[in-house]
Amino acid sequence: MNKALILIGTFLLSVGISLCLILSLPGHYHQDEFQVQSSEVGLDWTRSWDNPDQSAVALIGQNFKFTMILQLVSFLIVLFFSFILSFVALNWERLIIPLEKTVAIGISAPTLFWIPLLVSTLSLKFDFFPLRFEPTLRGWILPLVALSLRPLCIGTEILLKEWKKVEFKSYFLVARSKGLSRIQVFYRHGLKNALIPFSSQMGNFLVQSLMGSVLVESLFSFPGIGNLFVQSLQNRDLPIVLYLTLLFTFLMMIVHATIEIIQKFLEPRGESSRT
Amino acid sequence: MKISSALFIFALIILILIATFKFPDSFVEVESSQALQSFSEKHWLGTDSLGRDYFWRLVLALRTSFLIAFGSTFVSFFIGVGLGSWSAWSKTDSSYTLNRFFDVIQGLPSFLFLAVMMQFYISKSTLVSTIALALFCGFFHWPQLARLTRSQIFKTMQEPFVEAAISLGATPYHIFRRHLWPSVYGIWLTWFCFQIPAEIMFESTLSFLGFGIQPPQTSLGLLIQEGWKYLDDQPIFLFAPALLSFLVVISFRMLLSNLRKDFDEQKIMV
Repeated sequence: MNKALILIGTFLLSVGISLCLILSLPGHYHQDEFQVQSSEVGLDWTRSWDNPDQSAVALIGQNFKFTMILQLVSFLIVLFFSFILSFVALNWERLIIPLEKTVAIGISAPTLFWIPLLVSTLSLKFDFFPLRFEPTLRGWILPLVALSLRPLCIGTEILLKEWKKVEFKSYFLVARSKGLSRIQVFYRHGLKNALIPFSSQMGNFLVQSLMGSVLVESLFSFPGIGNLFVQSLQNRDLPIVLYLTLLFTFLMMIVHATIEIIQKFLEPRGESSRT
Repeated sequence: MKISSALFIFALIILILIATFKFPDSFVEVESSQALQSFSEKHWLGTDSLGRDYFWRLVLALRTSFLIAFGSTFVSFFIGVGLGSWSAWSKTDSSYTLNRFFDVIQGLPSFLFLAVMMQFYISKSTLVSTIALALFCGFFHWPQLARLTRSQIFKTMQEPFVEAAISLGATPYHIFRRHLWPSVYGIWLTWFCFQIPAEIMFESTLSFLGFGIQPPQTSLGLLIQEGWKYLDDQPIFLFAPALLSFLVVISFRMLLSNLRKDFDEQKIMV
């Protein structure tokens, strides 16, 4: 109940702030071409001011599907590879320390540092992938890698930490002495424990990923809502900015609510580890 | 590692101070005849398309990023410590309400709000837009510190010396200053080392997208945005600011991990 109230409170406050800020922006843009532009369309908040023929909702709808695919695939990549990497490191113990170091660097490296590195190497030097997004398989790879690399490092780090905690428990030693392999023991006894912090981090990842998509999409000219937000704000297309802010807020609320439900399922004893 | 990362940050601060005295107007002189020069003794990292020395532009950009990061961290610190302490101290419903308020603020999409809020200030003077950015970043990023402060003060308040101080009639300010806040110093220090690089990256992202610092002022994000245009011909314009931001972030993170270790050892010794 408390969580529901917090989520509703957050949503209502976000909506209030968005409305106050964006509805007062036309008054701020009082000079230059904006006045001419807005008087032509009569401050119609249902249509894009850049393309008056197009409804704002339809324009957002066109871009929304691309962002959703990007987010979903990136989430699956993070989920899949963080488990694979941590399992591989578990099976070959000598890999644990190098993996931990790599992951620590990956977490610290700012997105604005390694995306240029990635682009200049894979796109400009070797021409493996296009610099700007293209609706082909090759075009999707760089935005996906850019969006998922850091969360992948965070996810792998959490799993490795959790596995290490389990390793010293007596039930781990008993299961090992009964002949189970390390991976089997972690799968049977460690997975559920590890999933609690992992799911909470994945919740944070999804929220950050929604915000991170603004940067990644505009870097690769990806036709998603993040790039649309940047372009609309630069072009002062305020209806799009307003609806996108509300949409982002709503998506964030959905993500928070889903994670709370998952946490409640994984940790039925009480308060989740998120708060 | 702790000493080398601290030395690196110290060296950067010295460079920033030198740049402040060398360029009192915060702008590197334009010399069109020297445009796009390569590395030389005079220009260590070459010159940009307007003939400005790139090394000093980089230092001035770092200064702007540091100013915003430190400014916003201090704003967050004062709000977080104030509200966190109040929430821990008050035993009425306001403590519960404040805690829920922290949750609500933490859930806001701060990046989008900041991008929109900065629309009101990007056309203003450099000083105003820098202060506005630092303040707004600070206003949104305090809940984590408030929570940490609250939980630590809650723990310390159970100690007998705090009960003794209360029963002796000490004022709340005295109790906080002498008994409660000293127990949170370690947490505050680690939070600072975590928050400053996070704010640097936040500001860089905003400026990169065109919602933060505006030309002719420079910041790391703006330099990376400029460098992106010259990626084919002059990759140094992109890699120098990107590498510098990486080194700054990693130095703060190293300091943070070492501080954590130190505090953990102290706890074990106690």
